[in-house]
Parts: sequence; C-alpha cells; structure tokens
Amino acid sequence: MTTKAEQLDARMTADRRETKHLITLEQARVVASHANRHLTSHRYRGDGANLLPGAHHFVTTIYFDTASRALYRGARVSADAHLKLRAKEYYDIHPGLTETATDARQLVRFQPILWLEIKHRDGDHTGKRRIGIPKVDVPAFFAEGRITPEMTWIQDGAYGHDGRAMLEAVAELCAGCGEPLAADCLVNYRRSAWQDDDGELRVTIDTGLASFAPPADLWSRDWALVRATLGTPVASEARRVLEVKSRGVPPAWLTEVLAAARIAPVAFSKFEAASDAVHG
Amino acid sequence: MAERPRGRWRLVVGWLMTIALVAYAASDWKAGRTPRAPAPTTEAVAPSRLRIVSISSAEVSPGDAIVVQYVGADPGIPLAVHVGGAPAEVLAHRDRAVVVRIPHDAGPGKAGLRLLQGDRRSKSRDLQVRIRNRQSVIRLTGGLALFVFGLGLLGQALRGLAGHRLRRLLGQVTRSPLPSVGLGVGVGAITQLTTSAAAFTVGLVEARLMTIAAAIPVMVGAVLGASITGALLPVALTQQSLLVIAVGVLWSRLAVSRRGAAFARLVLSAGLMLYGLRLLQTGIEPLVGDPTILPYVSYFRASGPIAELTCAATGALLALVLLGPASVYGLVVGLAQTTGVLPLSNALAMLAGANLGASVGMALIAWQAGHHARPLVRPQLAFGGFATAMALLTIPVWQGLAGLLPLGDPNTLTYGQTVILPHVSRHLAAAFAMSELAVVAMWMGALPVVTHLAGRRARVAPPPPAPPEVIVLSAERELAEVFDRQRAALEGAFEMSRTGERGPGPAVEAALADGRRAIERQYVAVGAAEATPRVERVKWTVVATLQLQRALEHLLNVTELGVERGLRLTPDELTHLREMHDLAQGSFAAAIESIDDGGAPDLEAAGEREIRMNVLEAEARVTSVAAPRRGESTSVRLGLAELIDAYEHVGNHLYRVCKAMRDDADDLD
Repeated sequence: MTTKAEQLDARMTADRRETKHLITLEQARVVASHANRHLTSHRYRGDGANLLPGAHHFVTTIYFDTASRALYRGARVSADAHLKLRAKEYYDIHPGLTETATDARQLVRFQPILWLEIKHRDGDHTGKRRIGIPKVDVPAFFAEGRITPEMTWIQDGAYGHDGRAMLEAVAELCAGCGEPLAADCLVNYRRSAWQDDDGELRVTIDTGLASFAPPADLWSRDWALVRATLGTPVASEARRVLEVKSRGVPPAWLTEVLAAARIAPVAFSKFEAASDAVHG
Repeated sequence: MAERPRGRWRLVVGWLMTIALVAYAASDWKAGRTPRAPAPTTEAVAPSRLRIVSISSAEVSPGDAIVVQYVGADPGIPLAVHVGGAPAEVLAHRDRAVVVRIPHDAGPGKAGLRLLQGDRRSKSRDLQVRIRNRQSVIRLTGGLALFVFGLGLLGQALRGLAGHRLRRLLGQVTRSPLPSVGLGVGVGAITQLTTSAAAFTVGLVEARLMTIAAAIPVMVGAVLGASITGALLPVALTQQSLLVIAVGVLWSRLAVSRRGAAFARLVLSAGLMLYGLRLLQTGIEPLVGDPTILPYVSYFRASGPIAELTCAATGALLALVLLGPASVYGLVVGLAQTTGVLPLSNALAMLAGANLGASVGMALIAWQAGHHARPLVRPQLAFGGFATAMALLTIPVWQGLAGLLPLGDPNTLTYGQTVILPHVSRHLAAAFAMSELAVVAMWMGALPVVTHLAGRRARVAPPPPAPPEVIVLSAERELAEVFDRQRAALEGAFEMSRTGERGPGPAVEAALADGRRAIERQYVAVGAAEATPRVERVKWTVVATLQLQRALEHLLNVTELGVERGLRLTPDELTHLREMHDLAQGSFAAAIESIDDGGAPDLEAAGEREIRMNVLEAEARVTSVAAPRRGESTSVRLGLAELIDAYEHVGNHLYRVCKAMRDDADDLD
C-alpha cells in the first residue's frame, strides 16, 4: 500500500525533464523564497521516515563504476545517452537535539537502507529506477546478485508485487557491464527540496557539495555516511546546484525567476566531477 | 492539600493581629490629638534658694526661645541666664518666668542652663541642643530614600497582584474620564499627598494595569482630592504610617502564596512611602518655620498682580517641596488666621500656585518611573499651568462668592487668642474648593484633546533609527562586551564554588547587572532597525544572549546557595566542574573571537562542547543520586547537583547563542 506522497514521488522519478544550474548563495535565496511561496517543502515521508521538525536533510551518494571506469567514460563520450549507477543514503541532522545529546550520533536520524538508482538520460529527459537495499546486503548483491527477502519487501512497498522482478532487472543490468561494479566515489551535500501538489514539478538546491574517495568501512559500518565520518574531501563546490525536475513545461513563475536572477542551465554531473577529483 | 489548614490558620492569625494592631492604634488616635496639659511640678519650692522649676522644652535648637520658670529670685536684682556657660539673651522677664533665646552659636549636644542673680546661681538644668538644619537634612534624606524604596516595592507588588480580573476591574473603572477623576479624587483624598497618588497611578501604568489615557484624569483627580480633602479634612494618613508598615511586615511573614506576598508588599510599600513622606514633611516644616525665614512672610502682605504672582510662585514651590497642596493649605491657613499678614486674595493666589507645584512633583514622579509612564508628564504639567492660571485669574470671583455665603466676616478680629482671624479659614476653604472644582471641570472639557495628544505622543515613533548596518555593527560590538562581562561573571562564580567564599560575589553581580542592561538596550535598538537578514540574525542573537544571561543569573544564585550551605568540592568534583567551566569559557571565547573577526562561531565545535557538557552533567547526575558522604548533608549533595545542572544550562544557552550568531546560509527551506 503506497501513500499518495509515495505515488507522486514515484511518478516524478519515473520520467521527467531535468535541468541543472550552478548558482550563488544570493541566487539560491531568491529561488528558495519563490519556491517557498509556490511549492511545498518536500521530504521523504514513506515507511520509517524521520518526521521530527527542524531537520537538516543530507544526502551521501555512492557512485559505482568498473575498474576501467567504463561508466565514467560512457558519460564523458555521450552526455545525452548514458547510464549511471548510484546508491543514495539519506540522513537528517537535528542541531536542535544538541542541547540534550550526549553523543554526536544522537543528532543523526537515518535508515540503514541504500537507495540504488539506475539513471538513464535521453536528451534533457531522465528516468530513474530506484530500489532500496539494506546496507549489509549491498556487497553480496553486487558480487553475486543475491536477493534477500528484506530487499524484496522494501521493493514491494514501492512497486507492489513487481518488486522482485525489478530487483532481478537491476541485477541483470549490473551484470551487463562486463566487469564487476564497485564504489567509485562519494558525494555529500545538504539538500533543500520543494514539490508541487500534483507531482509535476520538483525543485532542489544542493549545497556544500564535497567529493570523497570511498572509505574503507563503506559496507561494514553500522553508521550513516555522515560527512564528518567520510574523511577529508578531495574536492568541494562552493556554488549551489539547482535542479529543476518537471514532467511538463515548467511554470511561468519559475521561468521568470530564473530569467530575472540570470540563472541559466549548465551541463554538470556530480558523478563526473567527483570521479575526476578522486582519480585525478 | 496538607498545606490548606495551615494556610487558613495563618490567615486567621494574620487578621486577628491586624485587627488588634489597628484597634490599639485607633484607641490612641483621639488621645494623641488632645493637647496634653503640662505636668504639674512636684518639686518642693524653697523660696530661699534660686531654683529652676521648669523649662518649656528640653530639646532646643540655636535661636529657639524657651520659657524658664523659677523661684527664689530677688525681685530687685537683674536676672541673667547662661546656656552652656555662655550668656543667653533674655527676651522677656515676668514674675517667676523668663523667656530666653538659645544662643545662635550653641553647639550640638548637652548644654547646661543656669540662672544667675548677683552671686547667687541656680542648679544647672540640662538642655539637648540639636542643629535644626542638620536634623532636617537627615530626615529629608532618609525620607526620600524610604519613599524611593517604597515606590520600587509598590511596582513589584502591583506586578505580583496583576491578573486578568484586576486589569478588567481597573479597565472598567477608568473606561470614561469621570470615574477616572473619581478614582483619582479617592486616591488623593486617602493619601493626602499628590506625590503618593502619582506614585500609585504611575505604578499602575508601569505595571500595564492602566492606560495613559485613563491615567491622565486619575492624576488630575488626585490633585483635586488632595487639595479639597486637605482643606476639609486635615487628617494625614502619614501619621499612621508605622502602623501600616507593621501590618505589611506581619502579612509578609504570614503570606502563604505568591499573591499573598504581593499583597503584603503592597501594604508594606504604602507604609514605607507614607513614612518616608512623613519624614520629608517633618524635615521641611522646621525649615519653612525657621525664625530666620519667617520675617520674609511679610512680603506677602502687599497687594496687586505682582504680589499675587509672588504668592503663586511661593505656593508652587511649597507644594513641590511639601509633596502636595494639602500641607500648603495648612500652612496658608495658619499664616492667614494667626498672623494676619496674608490677605485672603494672596492666600488664594498661594493655593492657586500649589496646583502647579503639585503637578510638577507628580510629573517628576512620572518622568523617573519609566518609559511607559513618561507620556503623563506633559499633560500633568499642562494641567498645573492651566489650573494655576485659571485660579489666579478668577480669584475675585471665588472671593466674592465665598463672601455671599454665611461664613462670617473674614476681617473679624479676636484679641488675646492664638487665632486672630477666626472666619478667614472658612472663606479660604469655600473659595479654594469652588475654585478647584471649577478648574477641574474646565479641564475635563479639554480632556479629550489632551488625551488624544498624549496618546499620539505615546505612539509617536522615535526618531528614525540609524541604518541597519550601523545598528548591526554597534549591536555586535556591544554583544562582544556583554559576552566579556558574562565570561567574567562565570569566572567569579566558579571561584566562589572553588573556594567556598563570597568574595567575588559583588563583582559577579555587577557584571551581570551591566550585561542585562546592555542586552535590553540592544534589544530595543535592534528591534527598531529595518528588518534585513543580518538584523534578524543579530535580533536572534540578542534574544539568545538574554536567555544566556538568565541562565548565568540562575547559576550565580545556585552558587550563592552552595556557599550558604557550605558546599565544599572534592578534588574529583572540582575537576568535573572545571571541565564544564572551561567548556563554557571556550564558547564565550569563540563568540567574542567571531565578532572580532567579523565571522561566525564554528557551530560544529560549539556543538561538540555542548555535547561534552551534557555528558559531564549526566555523569554528575549519577553521582548525585549516591548517598551523601560521611559528614555531608543531603542539602549539600543536592547543591552540587544543582550547580552542575546550572552549568549545563549555561552550556545549552551558549550553544544557542553560537547557533543564532551563525548565518545559516544553507537554511533555505
């Protein structure tokens, strides 16, 4: 049984038009003030979601690639048609809990689930398949394509009875790379997101982008991929990344705001930037 | 529930004791006002020896005249008098009595009075010489101090009593001008002093129990009440001020609730103010009645506008220093009917001026009371000026109207009595009462305009504030100084806990008091600034700093309590506390440094310090639940727990300050 919010999320994820923009703090504030007026602040509200108020939402993305960096090269050759395989861990930090915490970990709320995303792009249209995998099951899934009952249960929540089929499809896709896939680089950022009530438009602003090499305990740790535990960043981006994801034509107010703030779309890939930084 | 019967008993005891006190005092009131006949001397008279039989007063001041009765003098030989070994002037000499002036150069202290006739000398009688002006100054200073203290206590009491019902009641009474004037008349009549009426009204305004619009007619009514009842009922409540103080203290000891304690403070503050005013009056009256001043009174005998204006100015001055028109009335009546030097028209002019003097005194009370009551100043001064001018211009009218009443001829003289013009006081009372009523009635007509103007003034925005950037810079600088003071206060408090000595206490209190004043100042300044993101951030920081201030004040209280209980820290406990102290000092240093550098504190580091504080507090809590050590009382153990908890609160608020100072650019949603 999925909620309306989950249905809207799935709809937005499945097929959308996506543009990216690198913006300054002032431009981010302008866009945010309009987004706050026209859209609803968006956060994950599905099973086990953290609904405590005052959360700062963070994302750590693990990008996968082969030893020969086949996916990176594919993306460099053709920006319009390529495949990205990545896993996202969402976590929230509650600074408001600092006054009662006796351990920094108590400020963090997270689910020990990695969301594996397969993203394909066709021009400015992108589509994503997303499956949730308990973190402990990730290495076996990549190494052997092993599917556990927990993995199936998570997918059933999003895709109904097609969950297992979806998992098998993703495992097959991974196997199709020819070489084993492994974590290539990590990107951590704080995300602010807004969405309209019909699931037609989503605006996100990512701040504090920092790239990391995969830590040694990436799969063995029982703790979230919190930025402070990822080591020293190999690169960081001072600008904010604005992403506009829409299923149709973006609304006039947004177009006007972007024009007034002189915000133009750019070709930017977090994966490429991070992989470049990690591998030099 | 167990508290209830005990509280009821306290209430019963309180009322019984109050009734007993009032009854005892009431039984003495009449006796107190009845002049006592001089006690007949029981001393045996021996005509052969020169002997002092009695003296009119044993307590004298230089320049006073006293009557000395004697026996055994030879009528044919001149009689001399020595005071303190020096000859004193004999003003009059009758059979067996001399009137002697105490030498102007007599020093304070005991002085022997002796009669001399040739070689014959009487036995010396001790006089206590007091310097009149010094006594007056002591009374004036002490009275003023008590009055100001009582005023502060009154404000506290009213705030303690303030509740929705009281607000509603006062709101209903003062909804329209006429009942407001009535309330003022009542307050003025009871207190007989416009200054205490002003203090009462201003206290209500400052406690937000009364609006400015309602307070204006109350103040006017108070002048009317104090004037007229002063004229008609010369009974001063100040005489019973010690009784009021006794009742206030009694109830403050018996109060079982916050409200009860507030009520007790209200009574006590009233008593202290009244006693202070009594001291002020008794300090001023001798100055006014000084023989060196009295001759100037004859200047008031002249007629014409200049004389009337002089009289009005004198009346204003007297009302100002005698704290209201009631005392002036008594003085004027006394002069008019006992000396005859003050014609009725000049007496009325003097009373007219009393309106202005009383209003100036009331305006001064409103001015010093605080920001909220300050808009009362101008309307009150305007009323004083208006009332004096109108009363002066209409003197012939009221004098004539009083003449039409069956009050006797004001010029009738009686000889051989203290009062030589027995009817003049009736004319004065009638003319003055009519004049005051008419003036207030006229002022009531103009009241809507005055109230509107005062209300507008109260609402008038202050001059345009400085640009936001300037305000922000100034506020940040001031906040850095506040943090510095708070840091010093924390250091002092830690020292008190470490040594168990109160030594640094006053410095800590002073630092915190300075800090609070600065924070409140900045709160007002930043609140008036145009809203920009930076101003908003500073505003949040100021609020967070105010909360931190409260936590530090609490820490000081707990520290003082620890010293009081004899809390001695073991080396382990001291290490524990020192770590918390150092963490707090680290946050202060970070906040100050970030302002100096024009940046913001590292929130992660602040968070780490705060979390460490929480850990230390949690550890200390575990120790606190353990049984007290040998020789250590439970209260001491609890004192340590409270101290650690107070430190942890300071840590919480320091973290909030660092958080508020940080402009969270990423906080977009």
